This record gives sequence, structure tokens and C-alpha cells, in this order.
Amino acid sequence: MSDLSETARSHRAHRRVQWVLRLGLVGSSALVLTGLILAFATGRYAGHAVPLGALLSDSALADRVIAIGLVILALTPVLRVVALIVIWAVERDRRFVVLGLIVAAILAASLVSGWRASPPPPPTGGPHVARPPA
Amino acid sequence: MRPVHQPVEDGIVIDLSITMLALLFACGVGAGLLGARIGIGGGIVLVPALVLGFGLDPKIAIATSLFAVIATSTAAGSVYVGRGLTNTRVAIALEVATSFGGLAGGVLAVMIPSRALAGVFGIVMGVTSLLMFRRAGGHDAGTLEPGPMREGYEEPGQLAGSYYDDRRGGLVHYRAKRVAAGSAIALLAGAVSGMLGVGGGFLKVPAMNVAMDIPITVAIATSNFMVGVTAAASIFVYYGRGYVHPVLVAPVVLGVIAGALASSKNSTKANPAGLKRLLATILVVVAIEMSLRALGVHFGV
Repeated sequence: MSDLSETARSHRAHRRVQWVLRLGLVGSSALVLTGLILAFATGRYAGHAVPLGALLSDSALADRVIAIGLVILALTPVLRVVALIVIWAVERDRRFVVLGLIVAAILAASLVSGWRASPPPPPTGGPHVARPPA
Repeated sequence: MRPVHQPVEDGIVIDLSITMLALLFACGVGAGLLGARIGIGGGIVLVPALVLGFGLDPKIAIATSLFAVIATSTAAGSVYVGRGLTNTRVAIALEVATSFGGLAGGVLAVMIPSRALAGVFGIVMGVTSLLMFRRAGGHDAGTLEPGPMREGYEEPGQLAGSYYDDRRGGLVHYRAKRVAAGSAIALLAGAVSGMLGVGGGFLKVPAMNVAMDIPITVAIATSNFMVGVTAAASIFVYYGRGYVHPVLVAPVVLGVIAGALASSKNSTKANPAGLKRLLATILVVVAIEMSLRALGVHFGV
């Protein structure tokens, strides 16, 4: 029965997605923990919120290590969607490849817009907004 | 609670102490336990906790919470996927609706007074929570095929699949019904996410369980996947604009991972009625918050 091979394929897809998640989880948590220990040991870390660009270019080692860990964490769901698109493309499940690509496109758009927005925009309302040092 | 920071002109100064780390870690564990257990990111509890408990700026609290949501989604997801509980096709199909809801929410928020919008959301959530409460004692969705432990699977090209239910002792086959209604709620979840700065998982689970007749265990695991994607879409906007505080996010994220891993391990043994009541209670709280907002009362978030 074709049902059996479909089941097996579904399980194989699960295994692959699970690997993506585990790698992201282990990688990011190891870096975040190391960074936190460094911050505690050296006493050198940012005392306030900072944009990503500033973190990666000139900041304490502890902050940089945590930042890389957080970027890996944030990219894990994106990678999960990409992995699914590839898996479905191989399975020729065209309907879901298209849906996956729409989600990936929206993710890509927000990634790009976040990367570009280095100066904080005027707040849309609400209380005082903390700004990074100039 | 002792104030843990002093707001200064250009940001917030954090005093990194063991007590502070322990408190943030504990907050993370709580959010991870709850979030993974009922398929929400946990932002709905974490943001108020960080704002009211730690006196953080709401934007920084939201950015911190978005990382917590992604951590919950990834940690619990690594367990759920391995056991065949997540339906990734349902997740991606509804995620399209949620993403467009996010865009529509932005447009709506400009066109319609936010108080009127909050009122509408308050009513919708109130009704959804009533439906959840009514369902709590009702039937379990899907058809049971009793048998030994087997890994669940998805049916290609369709919004259907099966999962192994420990409590019922067999493989449960399900097929999504009323996809249009489910998508409409997912759309609303996206719009609410934009307004509140949270993942909207508290609406995604009812969208699947109440509207589409997907078993609650699968709805929770699938929503858990979706909230991670929604949060990832927002986090880079916050990260790029400088609302991320590394040493503050770090202990929360580590706590969340510990909490989410612990609570996702035994998810199929949990009593679905209890899960539905827990989620419905959270919905009632948000519905009240939204209704108060419609009347002009705000709670910092």
C-alpha cells in the first residue's frame, strides 16, 4: 500500500526537521550560556539595549557571543521553513511548496527591513522608548 | 520587588547580580513551561511580567519575549516533531493567513480607531474562550485506532494526519474541517499579534481545535511551530532598532529552554480538558484587557 511509504516519508521529514531544531537549540544555548558566564567573569557587558550592528562591531566579547547565539536562535524557525520547502519540493507536494515560499518571502522581507532599520524610528505611541547611545 | 534597573536618558542600566539572573531565569522557566504546554509562545504572560515585575520598557520587554517565544518554539518543537505531533502543513497553511493578518492589522490600525479595534478583538476573544470552555468537557477530535505506540504522520498534499495519543492508547487520525473559518481566526491572530506585540498562539490553538476540529495535542504542537515563525518575523525589526539587551535576554532564554523541554516531554499524557480550560482562562484575561483598552484603560503593554 502506498500509505506505508507515505508514512515512512513523513517520519523521515520529521527526523530532518528535528535535526535543524536540535542544531539551532544546542548552538544558540551554548553560546548564550558562554556569553553570560563571560559577562559575569569579566564584568564587561552592555548595560543597556543595543542594536545588532553595534553589538557585532564594537562591544564587549560577552555581548558579542550572546548576540551570535541569539541570531542563531532567531534564524532557526527560518531554517525550519526552508527545510520544509526543500522536503516538500523533493516529495513533489507542490501546493505546500507554494505556501511555504509565501511564508519564506514574508520572513525574508521582515529580515531585510530589520537589518536596514538602524536608527530607531519614531515610536507609534505608548510610553518612553529606550534608545541606544548615539 | 526591588527595582533592578535605573532608567537613564539613553537606555536602561542593568545591574547584573546572581539574584537578578535567578529571577529572570525563573521567569523564563515559567514562560517555557506554560508556553510549551498549551502551544502559546508565552509572550502574553512574559511581557506583563517583565514590564510590571522588572520595570522594563515595553519595547525591550517585547523584544526579550520574542526571543523567549522562539526558544519555546524551538525547544518544544524538537520534542513535538520527533514524536509526530506537529502538523507542519497545517502550520504553514495557517501561517500564510497569520502573516497577512499581521499586514492587515497594520493597515486596519491606521484606518480604524484603535479603541474600536480593541473592542472588536475583546468580543471575538470572549466568544472564543466561551467556545473553548464549552468544548473542554466535550468529545476528543479525530478517530481512534487502538494499538501500540507508533509515530504519527502527515498526509502529503492535505491538511490531515495522525498522532499517537498516550492517554487514549492508540493512533488518532484527524482531518482539518472548516479550513476557511480556521484561516479567518488565524488572520485575526496575526492582526492581534501586531497590536499586542505577542505571537497570538492563544488564538491559533482555538482556530485549529474549535474551528477546524484538529485534536488539541496536535493543535498545541502545530501552534508551537507557528508562534516561532511569527516571532522570527518580528524579532529582526526589534533587533535592528536596538531593543535587545544581551545580558537580560540570555538568562530568560536559557530558562525558557529548560521549561519548554521539561513540559513538552509528557504532553500527550496531559488531560485535554484541563489544557482547554487553562487556555480559555488566558483568553478571558486577554479579552478583559482588550475590552478595558476599548474603554481607554491601559496596562503598560
